[in-house]
Amino acid sequence: MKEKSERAAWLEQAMARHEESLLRMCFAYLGDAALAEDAVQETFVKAYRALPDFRGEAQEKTWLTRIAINTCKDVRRGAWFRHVDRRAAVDALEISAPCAEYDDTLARAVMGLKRKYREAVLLCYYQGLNGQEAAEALGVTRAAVHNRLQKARAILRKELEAWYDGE
Amino acid sequence: MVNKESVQRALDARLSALSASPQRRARIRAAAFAKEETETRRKFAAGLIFALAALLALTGAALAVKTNLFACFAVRDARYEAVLDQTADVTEAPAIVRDERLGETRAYVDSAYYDGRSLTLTFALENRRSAEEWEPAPEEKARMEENTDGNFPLFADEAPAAEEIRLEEAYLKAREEGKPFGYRTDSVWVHDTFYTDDGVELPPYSGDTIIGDNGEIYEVREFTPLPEAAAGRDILSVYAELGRSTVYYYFDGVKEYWMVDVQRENVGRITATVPRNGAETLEFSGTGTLCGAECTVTAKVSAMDLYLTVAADADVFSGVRHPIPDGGEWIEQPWMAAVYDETGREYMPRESAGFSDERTLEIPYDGTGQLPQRLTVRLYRSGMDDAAPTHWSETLELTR
Repeated sequence: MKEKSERAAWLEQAMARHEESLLRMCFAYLGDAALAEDAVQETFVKAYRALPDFRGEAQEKTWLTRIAINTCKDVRRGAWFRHVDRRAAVDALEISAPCAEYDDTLARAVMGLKRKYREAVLLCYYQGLNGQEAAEALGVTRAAVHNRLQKARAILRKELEAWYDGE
Repeated sequence: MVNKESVQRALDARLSALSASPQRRARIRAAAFAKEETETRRKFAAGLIFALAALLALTGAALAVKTNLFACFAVRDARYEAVLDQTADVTEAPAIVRDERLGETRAYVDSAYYDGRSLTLTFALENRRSAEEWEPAPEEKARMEENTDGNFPLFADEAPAAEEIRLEEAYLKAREEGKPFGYRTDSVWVHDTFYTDDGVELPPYSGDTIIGDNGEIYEVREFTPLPEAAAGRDILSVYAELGRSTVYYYFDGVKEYWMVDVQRENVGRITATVPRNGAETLEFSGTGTLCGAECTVTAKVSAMDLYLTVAADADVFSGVRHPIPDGGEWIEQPWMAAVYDETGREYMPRESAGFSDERTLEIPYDGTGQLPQRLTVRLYRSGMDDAAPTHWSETLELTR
């Protein structure tokens, strides 16, 4: 078995590289900071456990994103999650000072997308997975990912008409 | 524009309050290491089972207990534990793969649970991985892909040989010093999908893995519910192909490269002939109304799964139709069902709900490891987005 110290070192590096973006993706997916925290923790724990099985046929970020999105789905499947109103969660989240003047219209629109479209946007546009990788992560075909991205863009274009005009 | 850059910028700015935190990392570390210790204890428990088996075999009492691989996974999963006494040893002649680098790899199915509706089987894979130093020929170098993310190499295995660890370290050191270095790992693995002997595809629903002291892999895979074409047989004969892959890593003193060669066919095949056990599979049904329509609800249940079908006499399950910009449409199914057994235990829905038409809703769930006496179902409509349910059905009681 690989030495614990080596895997611990990997965990440190992986957290340094991906903690923030995974946390934000989980939040954008779940709409709840506490759940996103839990999902990120679970993602790294699962990855730490599964590191020996990681065959390297995907990049580390792709692999972790896949684990994270599946963890978020598990959270969503929890009975109580379905009954909680999380509409206020984004508003409760302060914007850090350097970004305080940033127009958050697009971010809100992305987080307001229906889940299937939001997943595709988060994986492909935010985490940078390609169509095949996103398809594998979501358990759908590449064509479905493509369609969802197109649909998401169409919705965002329509919702952000005024925003576009102001660009 | 809505594109990768604008979405990344927008989300990073809006979610800037969510940043890296030393406290979070400490929690992750603690959880990872704590879980590992739990796993170690479980492995120890699994080791105990083997030791117990050996001891009992010596004393002639081995028939008294189940000592197969299934027992090892039962330590980790209550569902498997609940059906342990209904599993069978199905070991056949192992598949042998001979390779100039690996030598002889052995793979075999060990034990299985099969009740006519679901199949769960365990298998072993021994001497499956090797590593050696390697330098690419010019034509090989030309085939390799440059790695630019700086996270290389990350292809560690749970049970690397000492040589593989040495090579990884040597690679990292060479990279640090700007000296060329390369190595390759060769491995044999079992394909995800099993097939029946007459070609019915059995995609796995879930699985788990235990690593042995010498790097061998013990794995459990669950195929449930079985496709109709494979279900209900008295004996289920199945196989899975073996695959072989080689991953090459090379640092040329400046840049990193990698390449993967995969052979998916004609490597070898593991087989099993699994007799159906005597476990019951039950069918429950009940009726009720939903949005004014009469509904018949049926649930097919085994210890391993539950499959719910709701048939209405009106179009209550009409999906929400979303046009796709380039033509066609996508249909969203907003209905879901909460299912409980007589003790109030909730069945957990699997990844997705499907529906065959506007009057039928079908949803798969994980089993509980036991068969229920009766079931309670509540349907609700919540949409695919995050909103709370907008409609709950009356409580429907299902009986056999």
